[in-house]
Amino acid sequence: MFLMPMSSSIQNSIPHPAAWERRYSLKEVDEVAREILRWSEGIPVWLLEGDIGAGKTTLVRAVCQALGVTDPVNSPTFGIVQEYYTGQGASVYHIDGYRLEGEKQLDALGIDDVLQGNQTCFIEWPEFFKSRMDGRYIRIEWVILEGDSRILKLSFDVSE
Amino acid sequence: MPTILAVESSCDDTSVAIASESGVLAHVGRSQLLHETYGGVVPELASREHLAQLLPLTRQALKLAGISTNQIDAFAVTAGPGLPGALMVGISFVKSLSLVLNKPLIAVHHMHAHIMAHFIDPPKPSFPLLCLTVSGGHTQLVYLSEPFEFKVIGQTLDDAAGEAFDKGARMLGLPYPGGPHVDALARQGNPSFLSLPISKVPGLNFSFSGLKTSLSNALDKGKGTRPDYIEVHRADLCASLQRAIIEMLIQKLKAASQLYPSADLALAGGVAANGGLQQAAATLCAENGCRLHLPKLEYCTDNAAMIAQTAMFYYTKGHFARQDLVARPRWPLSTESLYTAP
Repeated sequence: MFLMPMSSSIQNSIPHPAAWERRYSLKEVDEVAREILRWSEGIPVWLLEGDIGAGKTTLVRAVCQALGVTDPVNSPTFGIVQEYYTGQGASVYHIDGYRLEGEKQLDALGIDDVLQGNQTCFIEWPEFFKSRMDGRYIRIEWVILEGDSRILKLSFDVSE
Repeated sequence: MPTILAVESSCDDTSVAIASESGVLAHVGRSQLLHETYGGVVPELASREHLAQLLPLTRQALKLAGISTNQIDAFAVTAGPGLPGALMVGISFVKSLSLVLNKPLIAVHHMHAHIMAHFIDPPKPSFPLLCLTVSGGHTQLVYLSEPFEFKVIGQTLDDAAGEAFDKGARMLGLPYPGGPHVDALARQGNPSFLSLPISKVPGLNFSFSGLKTSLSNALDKGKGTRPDYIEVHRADLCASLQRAIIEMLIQKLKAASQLYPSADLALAGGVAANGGLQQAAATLCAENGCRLHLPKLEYCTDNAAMIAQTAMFYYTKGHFARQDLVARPRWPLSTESLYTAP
C-alpha cells in the first residue's frame, strides 16, 4: 500500500501510526481522502497547512463527500466558518483562518463551542487556532511539487 | 412607499441606511464613520465591533436623514448569508428596534440585495434580468424574471472571483484586499505575458482554484530563472491573472445570456468595480445588443442601502419576518428559500 508509517512514538493504545506521508496528484484526491478517513477514525479536528493552491479545500471537499455531506463544499476564506450537514444530519465545520488577524478574533466566531462539540472540523490556515486545541487532532501539511503533484504529510497529536 | 431603516452586518462592514420613496436618505458605514469617530481601524471581524458601531451609526443615519425613529415604517436587516456572530448582532439590534417601536421587521437575503442595489438609482433595469454577482465570498449567475422570481443558474464550485483576485494578489506580493491593486497594475501590463489556463467546468458554474495552482507553478518557475521575477514582471503578472479570472467570468456570462436571453444584464458585488470586468461585460453587451447595468461603487460592496432598497420590495409585498427570526449563515438564494423559515 502507499501508506508509509514514519514513526511510532505513540503508545500502543493508539491504533494508527503517528505519521505518514504520501505523494499524490490532485486527480487522486478522492482516493487520498478515503485513505485518511480510514486512519482518522474518532479524531474530529483536522488542521490543514499548505500554501495557496496546495489543495486544502479540494481535500476537504473529497473528505466531506466521503462523509456523506450533501451541501456544496467551497472555500471558507470569506465566510470563515461554514457548516455542512451529512445525510445523517451530523454537522461538519469547515473553517478558514486566512483572513484572521489575531487569536482574539476567534472568540467572536464562537470557535470554542465548535471545537469542544466533538464534531468533525476542518481548519485551513490554522495558525491562530493552535492555542485553542485541547483534544486530539490531525495535522496535514502539503509540499507543492510541479504541476498537480503534492506531498501530503499527516501527523496526529493525541496528547490529552 | 415606506421609510425603512436597514442594517447590514453580515461580514466585515457595519452599515446603516435609511431609504424612502425619494431614494436613499442616509447611508453610513464603517469606512465613513470609524476614521472620524474612533481615529483608526478597528478589528472588524469581531461581532462586538459591529455591536459597538451599530448605535452610533444608527444615530448618525437618523441625523443625516433628518428624521426621528417614529417616522420609520419598518426595520430591515440582513439575515444571511454571512458570519453567524456578525449576523446575530445585526438581527438582535433590529429586532429590538422593531419590538420597541412596534414596527414591522424585514429579513433580507444579502445576495438578493446585491442584485436589488441596481434599483437604488436610475436607470433601473427591466425584467427579465441576468445578473452576475461577484464578490470576495460569492460568484453567482442569477436569472430574474421578476424581482421575486429568480433562480441561481450558475455559481462557483470552489473559490469566489474576489478571492481569486485576493489570493493571486498575495502571491504577487500585493496588499489585501488585492482586487483593486491587481486592477490598477493590470492596466500597465501585458495580459498575454503568462498563459494561465481557464478551468473547464460544466454548465454555467465557475472554478478558480486551478488558477491558483497554475499561477503558483508559473511563479516558482519564473523565480528559478531570476529571483526578482515577481518584482520585475508584476504588472504583466497582474494583467495575466486578471485576464484569466475575467475570461472565466465572461465565458459563463456569455453562455448564460444565450441560454437565458434578456435585454438587461447587470454586474453586482465588489468585483463589479473591476475595470477590466466592466470593459469585458460592455463588449459582450455591445455584441448582444443588451443594456449593461453597473452599480455605483458604494453600492457594489456590502452596504445597508441595498438592504433598505430590497426591503422596500418586501414591504410592498407584505413579506415581513417574525420576532423569532434567526441568522441563516448559509441561506441559499432561491425564490422558495425567501419564503421558508430555516
